[in-house]
Amino acid sequence: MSPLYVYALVAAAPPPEALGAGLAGEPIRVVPCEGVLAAVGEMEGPPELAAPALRAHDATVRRIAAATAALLPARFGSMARDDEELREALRPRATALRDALEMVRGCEQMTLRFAAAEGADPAVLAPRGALPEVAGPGTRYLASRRAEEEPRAIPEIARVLEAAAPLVRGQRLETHHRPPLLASAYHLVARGDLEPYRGRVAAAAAGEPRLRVLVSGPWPAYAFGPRELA
Amino acid sequence: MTDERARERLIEEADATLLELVDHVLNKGVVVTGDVMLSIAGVDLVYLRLSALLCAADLLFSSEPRR
Repeated sequence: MSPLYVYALVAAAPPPEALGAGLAGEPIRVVPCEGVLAAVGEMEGPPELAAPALRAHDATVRRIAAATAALLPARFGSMARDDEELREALRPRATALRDALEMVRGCEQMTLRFAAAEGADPAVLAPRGALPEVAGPGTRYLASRRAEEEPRAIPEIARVLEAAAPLVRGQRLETHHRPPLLASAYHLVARGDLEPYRGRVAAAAAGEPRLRVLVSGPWPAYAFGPRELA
Repeated sequence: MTDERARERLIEEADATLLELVDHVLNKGVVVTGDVMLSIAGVDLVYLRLSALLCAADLLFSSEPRR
Protein backbone atom coordinates (compact mmCIF):
# COMPACT_ATOMS: atom_id res chain seq x y z
CA MET A 1 0.00 0.00 0.00
CA SER A 2 1.24 3.49 -0.81
CA PRO A 3 1.47 6.18 1.87
CA LEU A 4 -1.66 8.17 2.58
CA TYR A 5 -2.16 11.82 1.85
CA VAL A 6 -4.68 13.33 4.24
CA TYR A 7 -7.13 15.91 2.91
CA ALA A 8 -9.53 16.40 5.79
CA LEU A 9 -11.28 14.97 8.80
CA VAL A 10 -15.04 14.56 8.70
CA ALA A 11 -17.71 13.46 11.15
CA ALA A 12 -19.68 11.37 8.64
CA ALA A 13 -18.68 9.73 5.38
CA PRO A 14 -19.79 11.67 2.31
CA PRO A 15 -21.17 9.65 -0.61
CA PRO A 16 -18.37 8.07 -2.69
CA GLU A 17 -19.18 10.26 -5.69
CA ALA A 18 -18.58 13.34 -3.54
CA LEU A 19 -15.19 12.07 -2.41
CA GLY A 20 -14.10 11.71 -6.03
CA ALA A 21 -10.43 11.87 -6.95
CA GLY A 22 -7.53 13.63 -5.27
CA LEU A 23 -4.46 15.61 -6.29
CA ALA A 24 -2.88 12.77 -8.25
CA GLY A 25 -6.17 11.51 -9.64
CA GLU A 26 -6.23 8.86 -6.93
CA PRO A 27 -9.59 7.78 -5.48
CA ILE A 28 -10.34 9.28 -2.09
CA ARG A 29 -11.61 7.03 0.68
CA VAL A 30 -12.21 7.41 4.40
CA VAL A 31 -10.29 5.85 7.29
CA PRO A 32 -12.47 5.68 10.43
CA CYS A 33 -11.08 6.08 13.93
CA GLU A 34 -13.25 6.50 17.04
CA GLY A 35 -15.92 8.69 15.51
CA VAL A 36 -13.55 10.65 13.29
CA LEU A 37 -13.05 9.84 9.63
CA ALA A 38 -10.00 10.87 7.67
CA ALA A 39 -10.48 11.50 3.94
CA VAL A 40 -7.32 10.19 2.30
CA GLY A 41 -5.80 9.27 -1.03
CA GLU A 42 -2.86 6.96 -1.69
CA MET A 43 0.15 8.95 -2.90
CA GLU A 44 3.85 8.15 -3.07
CA GLY A 45 4.82 11.38 -1.34
CA PRO A 46 3.63 14.88 -0.49
CA PRO A 47 2.79 17.14 -3.42
CA GLU A 48 5.19 19.85 -4.48
CA LEU A 49 4.69 23.09 -2.60
CA ALA A 50 3.44 25.17 -5.49
CA ALA A 51 0.36 27.18 -6.34
CA PRO A 52 -1.35 24.57 -8.56
CA ALA A 53 -1.07 21.90 -5.86
CA LEU A 54 -2.30 24.30 -3.17
CA ARG A 55 -5.30 25.19 -5.30
CA ALA A 56 -6.00 21.53 -6.01
CA HIS A 57 -5.77 20.65 -2.32
CA ASP A 58 -8.20 23.43 -1.44
CA ALA A 59 -10.57 22.48 -4.26
CA THR A 60 -10.61 18.86 -3.09
CA VAL A 61 -11.28 19.87 0.49
CA ARG A 62 -14.08 22.19 -0.63
CA ARG A 63 -15.69 19.46 -2.70
CA ILE A 64 -15.73 17.10 0.26
CA ALA A 65 -16.92 19.89 2.58
CA ALA A 66 -19.87 20.61 0.31
CA ALA A 67 -21.06 17.03 0.79
CA THR A 68 -20.81 16.89 4.56
CA ALA A 69 -21.92 19.03 7.49
CA ALA A 70 -18.73 18.96 9.54
CA LEU A 71 -15.18 19.03 8.15
CA LEU A 72 -11.75 20.04 9.40
CA PRO A 73 -9.17 20.47 6.65
CA ALA A 74 -5.79 18.84 7.12
CA ARG A 75 -2.77 21.04 6.65
CA PHE A 76 -1.25 20.78 3.19
CA GLY A 77 1.39 18.07 3.12
CA SER A 78 0.00 15.81 5.85
CA MET A 79 1.06 12.21 5.24
CA ALA A 80 0.77 8.87 7.02
CA ARG A 81 2.55 5.63 6.17
CA ASP A 82 -0.64 3.55 6.16
CA ASP A 83 -4.10 3.22 7.72
CA GLU A 84 -2.72 1.96 11.00
CA GLU A 85 -0.24 4.78 11.46
CA LEU A 86 -3.00 7.26 10.72
CA ARG A 87 -5.29 5.65 13.30
CA GLU A 88 -2.50 5.73 15.85
CA ALA A 89 -2.07 9.44 15.22
CA LEU A 90 -5.79 10.17 15.48
CA ARG A 91 -6.68 7.95 18.43
CA PRO A 92 -5.21 10.04 21.28
CA ARG A 93 -6.73 13.17 19.75
CA ALA A 94 -10.12 11.72 18.89
CA THR A 95 -12.05 13.52 21.63
CA ALA A 96 -10.61 16.92 20.75
CA LEU A 97 -11.21 16.26 17.07
CA ARG A 98 -14.83 15.23 17.61
CA ASP A 99 -15.38 18.40 19.65
CA ALA A 100 -13.82 20.50 16.91
CA LEU A 101 -15.98 18.83 14.28
CA GLU A 102 -19.08 19.62 16.32
CA MET A 103 -18.01 23.24 16.59
CA VAL A 104 -17.68 23.67 12.82
CA ARG A 105 -20.85 21.72 11.94
CA GLY A 106 -23.00 23.64 9.45
CA CYS A 107 -20.55 26.54 9.34
CA GLU A 108 -18.08 28.07 6.94
CA GLN A 109 -15.02 30.11 7.84
CA MET A 110 -14.76 33.78 6.96
CA THR A 111 -11.44 35.56 7.36
CA LEU A 112 -10.90 39.24 8.08
CA ARG A 113 -7.52 40.96 7.69
CA PHE A 114 -7.17 44.27 9.44
CA ALA A 115 -4.60 46.70 8.11
CA ALA A 116 -3.95 50.40 8.49
CA ALA A 117 -5.67 52.25 5.67
CA GLU A 118 -3.49 53.82 3.03
CA GLY A 119 -2.09 57.02 4.42
CA ALA A 120 -2.96 56.08 7.99
CA ASP A 121 -0.07 55.78 10.38
CA PRO A 122 -0.09 52.20 11.74
CA ALA A 123 1.25 53.59 15.01
CA VAL A 124 -1.99 55.52 15.48
CA LEU A 125 -3.89 52.25 15.36
CA ALA A 126 -2.11 51.00 18.43
CA PRO A 127 -3.69 49.15 21.32
CA ARG A 128 -5.05 51.76 23.68
CA GLY A 129 -7.05 49.94 26.24
CA ALA A 130 -7.14 51.64 29.61
CA LEU A 131 -4.41 50.52 31.98
CA PRO A 132 -5.00 50.32 35.72
CA GLU A 133 -4.15 53.71 37.20
CA VAL A 134 -3.13 52.54 40.63
CA ALA A 135 -1.29 49.42 39.61
CA GLY A 136 2.42 49.15 40.00
CA PRO A 137 4.83 49.31 37.09
CA GLY A 138 4.99 45.53 36.78
CA THR A 139 1.22 45.18 36.49
CA ARG A 140 1.07 48.04 34.01
CA TYR A 141 3.82 46.46 31.92
CA LEU A 142 2.06 43.10 31.82
CA ALA A 143 -1.24 44.76 30.94
CA SER A 144 0.37 46.62 28.08
CA ARG A 145 1.97 43.41 26.79
CA ARG A 146 -1.41 41.67 26.89
CA ALA A 147 -2.95 44.57 24.99
CA GLU A 148 -0.33 44.20 22.27
CA GLU A 149 -1.49 40.63 21.69
CA GLU A 150 -5.20 41.43 21.81
CA PRO A 151 -6.61 42.83 18.56
CA ARG A 152 -9.70 44.06 20.41
CA ALA A 153 -7.50 46.51 22.27
CA ILE A 154 -7.53 48.49 19.03
CA PRO A 155 -10.94 50.19 19.18
CA GLU A 156 -11.37 50.35 15.40
CA ILE A 157 -10.96 46.57 15.16
CA ALA A 158 -13.12 45.97 18.23
CA ARG A 159 -16.02 47.87 16.66
CA VAL A 160 -15.91 45.79 13.47
CA LEU A 161 -15.75 42.57 15.49
CA GLU A 162 -18.68 43.68 17.63
CA ALA A 163 -20.75 44.39 14.53
CA ALA A 164 -20.12 40.89 13.20
CA ALA A 165 -20.50 39.15 16.55
CA PRO A 166 -24.25 38.30 16.37
CA LEU A 167 -23.55 36.03 13.40
CA VAL A 168 -20.26 34.57 14.64
CA ARG A 169 -20.40 31.07 16.17
CA GLY A 170 -16.67 30.76 16.73
CA GLN A 171 -13.75 33.16 16.59
CA ARG A 172 -9.98 33.01 16.53
CA LEU A 173 -7.92 36.17 16.60
CA GLU A 174 -4.30 36.75 15.71
CA THR A 175 -2.20 39.84 16.14
CA HIS A 176 0.42 40.58 13.51
CA HIS A 177 3.39 42.77 14.22
CA ARG A 178 3.94 43.55 10.55
CA PRO A 179 2.63 46.99 9.69
CA PRO A 180 0.45 47.84 7.96
CA LEU A 181 -1.07 44.43 8.74
CA LEU A 182 -2.46 44.58 12.27
CA ALA A 183 -4.53 41.48 12.93
CA SER A 184 -6.60 38.65 11.50
CA ALA A 185 -9.94 37.32 12.64
CA TYR A 186 -11.21 33.88 11.67
CA HIS A 187 -14.94 33.50 12.07
CA LEU A 188 -17.24 30.51 11.93
CA VAL A 189 -20.47 31.59 10.31
CA ALA A 190 -23.54 29.45 9.59
CA ARG A 191 -23.83 28.65 5.90
CA GLY A 192 -27.08 30.58 5.62
CA ASP A 193 -25.68 33.70 7.28
CA LEU A 194 -22.81 34.50 4.93
CA GLU A 195 -24.43 37.41 3.12
CA PRO A 196 -25.77 39.11 6.27
CA TYR A 197 -22.30 38.65 7.78
CA ARG A 198 -20.65 40.34 4.82
CA GLY A 199 -23.14 43.16 5.08
CA ARG A 200 -22.46 43.74 8.75
CA VAL A 201 -18.70 43.74 8.24
CA ALA A 202 -18.90 46.07 5.24
CA ALA A 203 -21.12 48.53 7.08
CA ALA A 204 -18.88 48.57 10.13
CA ALA A 205 -15.71 48.86 8.05
CA ALA A 206 -17.16 51.83 6.17
CA GLY A 207 -17.29 53.69 9.46
CA GLU A 208 -13.58 53.17 10.17
CA PRO A 209 -11.62 55.35 7.75
CA ARG A 210 -8.27 54.59 9.36
CA LEU A 211 -8.75 50.86 9.01
CA ARG A 212 -8.67 48.66 5.94
CA VAL A 213 -10.66 45.44 6.28
CA LEU A 214 -10.06 42.66 3.77
CA VAL A 215 -12.70 39.95 3.75
CA SER A 216 -12.17 36.51 2.24
CA GLY A 217 -14.24 33.37 2.26
CA PRO A 218 -16.15 31.26 2.61
CA TRP A 219 -13.34 28.83 3.44
CA PRO A 220 -13.42 25.36 4.88
CA ALA A 221 -12.75 25.71 8.61
CA TYR A 222 -8.97 25.87 8.26
CA ALA A 223 -8.45 27.86 11.44
CA PHE A 224 -10.61 25.75 13.74
CA GLY A 225 -8.69 22.57 14.30
CA PRO A 226 -7.88 21.84 17.94
CA ARG A 227 -5.21 24.23 19.10
CA GLU A 228 -2.93 21.51 20.32
CA LEU A 229 -2.71 20.15 16.78
CA ALA A 230 -2.17 23.47 15.03
CA MET B 1 11.42 53.37 0.00
CA THR B 2 10.91 52.47 3.64
CA ASP B 3 10.20 48.91 4.64
CA GLU B 4 6.67 49.90 5.55
CA ARG B 5 6.00 51.52 2.20
CA ALA B 6 7.51 48.57 0.40
CA ARG B 7 5.29 46.16 2.29
CA GLU B 8 2.25 48.29 1.61
CA ARG B 9 3.00 48.29 -2.07
CA LEU B 10 3.49 44.55 -2.06
CA ILE B 11 0.05 44.16 -0.54
CA GLU B 12 -1.45 46.21 -3.32
CA GLU B 13 0.34 44.22 -5.99
CA ALA B 14 -0.11 40.82 -4.48
CA ASP B 15 -2.47 38.20 -5.77
CA ALA B 16 -4.61 38.37 -2.69
CA THR B 17 -6.49 35.22 -3.58
CA LEU B 18 -3.33 33.16 -3.81
CA LEU B 19 -1.96 34.71 -0.64
CA GLU B 20 -5.08 33.87 1.27
CA LEU B 21 -5.00 30.37 -0.15
CA VAL B 22 -1.40 29.89 0.95
CA ASP B 23 -2.12 31.19 4.42
CA HIS B 24 -5.12 28.95 4.95
CA VAL B 25 -3.87 25.77 3.32
CA LEU B 26 -0.28 25.89 4.58
CA ASN B 27 -0.47 27.66 7.85
CA LYS B 28 -3.84 26.53 9.18
CA GLY B 29 -5.50 23.20 9.04
CA VAL B 30 -5.05 20.22 11.26
CA VAL B 31 -1.69 18.50 11.44
CA VAL B 32 -3.04 15.00 11.40
CA THR B 33 0.00 12.88 11.89
CA GLY B 34 2.58 15.30 13.20
CA ASP B 35 4.51 14.18 10.18
CA VAL B 36 4.03 17.09 7.81
CA MET B 37 6.53 17.12 5.01
CA LEU B 38 6.93 20.35 3.13
CA SER B 39 9.18 20.80 0.19
CA ILE B 40 10.91 24.09 0.81
CA ALA B 41 11.97 24.27 -2.83
CA GLY B 42 9.55 26.57 -4.57
CA VAL B 43 8.73 28.64 -1.51
CA ASP B 44 10.63 31.57 -2.99
CA LEU B 45 7.82 31.98 -5.46
CA VAL B 46 5.46 33.00 -2.74
CA TYR B 47 7.71 34.07 0.10
CA LEU B 48 8.16 37.75 -0.68
CA ARG B 49 4.51 38.43 -1.20
CA LEU B 50 3.58 36.14 1.61
CA SER B 51 5.73 37.92 4.12
CA ALA B 52 4.08 41.18 3.21
CA LEU B 53 0.53 40.22 3.91
CA LEU B 54 0.55 36.96 5.74
CA CYS B 55 2.58 35.34 8.41
CA ALA B 56 2.89 31.80 7.10
CA ALA B 57 6.44 32.68 6.18
CA ASP B 58 7.26 32.73 9.86
CA LEU B 59 6.27 29.10 10.00
CA LEU B 60 8.33 28.13 7.00
CA PHE B 61 11.47 29.94 7.99
CA SER B 62 11.45 29.46 11.72
CA SER B 63 11.63 25.70 11.63
CA GLU B 64 13.27 22.97 9.67
CA PRO B 65 11.03 20.82 7.51
CA ARG B 66 9.57 18.17 9.75
CA ARG B 67 10.22 14.60 8.78
